[in-house]
Amino acid sequence: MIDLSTLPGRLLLVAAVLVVASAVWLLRRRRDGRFAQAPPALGVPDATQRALGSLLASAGPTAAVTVVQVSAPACAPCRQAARVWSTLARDVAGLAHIEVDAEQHPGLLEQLGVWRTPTSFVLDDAGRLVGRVAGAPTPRAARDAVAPWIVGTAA
Amino acid sequence: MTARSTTAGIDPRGPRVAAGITSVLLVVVLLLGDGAAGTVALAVVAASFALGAVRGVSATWQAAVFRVVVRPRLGPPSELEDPAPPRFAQLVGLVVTGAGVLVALLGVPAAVTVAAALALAAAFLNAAFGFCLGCELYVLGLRLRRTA
Repeated sequence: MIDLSTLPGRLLLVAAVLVVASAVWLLRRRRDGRFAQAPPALGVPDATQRALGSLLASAGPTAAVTVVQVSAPACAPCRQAARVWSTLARDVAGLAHIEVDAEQHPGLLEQLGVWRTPTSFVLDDAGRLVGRVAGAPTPRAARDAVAPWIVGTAA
Repeated sequence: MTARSTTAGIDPRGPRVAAGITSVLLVVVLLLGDGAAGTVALAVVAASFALGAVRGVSATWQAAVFRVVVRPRLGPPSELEDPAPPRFAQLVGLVVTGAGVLVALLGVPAAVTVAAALALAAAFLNAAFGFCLGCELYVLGLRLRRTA
């Protein structure tokens, strides 16, 4: 154990804090902004599908692919994610981007199983959940995430 | 659909430099240890967080250091940032360091080290990687508030 009553011990504590923080950040970064495919049809909880369905219904006609981005007011990466998705939606026909504020939709975080913002849900033309992206994607990761469901841009 | 703050954006490098200064202070707290000196140093950090939480992240003395010393040496920022997220993070910092000072004053000196270590991890992540841990806790708070 670290002996905190000595200066070397306290220096070691400082180093340990910095190393642990960096390690957590590196682990987290590996998943950040990556597309994760939804489990096979039966695996998506009803509550999640229902919540997404009602958000989709309130947004008008269904596009080939809709990205529902869950954001929070105090969230800098949410702004970044919104920029990436809305730019892509302008460039790609058949892609719609909806951003919802978790604070204004009580219960939404629980229904969607969201622990952090932004989390973006990718829905197909029937409103089925096909996958989610936690964190802000790069423009390229965003394009790759929706490409399989957009006719003509599939890789 | 998201409510956006209409206040002017801030230079995102400001909060990061400020977090760097705060990190150095918190290292000093940890090196001073649980005695009176460490408690006072942590109280200074907590007071700085209080300033940022109440008057905004641009109103702290660390932000003033950035404006006077660092900013003139940099080019213009490539983009501006909403001040709301870093301001919320200041509040998180205030809660953590303030609780540390309070519990230490109540007779548990180890609270200084625990609070300073937690705050250092968050401030360091912000300064080194631009990752705002305090901001992430906002969503966690939203969920926990409802289940509680």
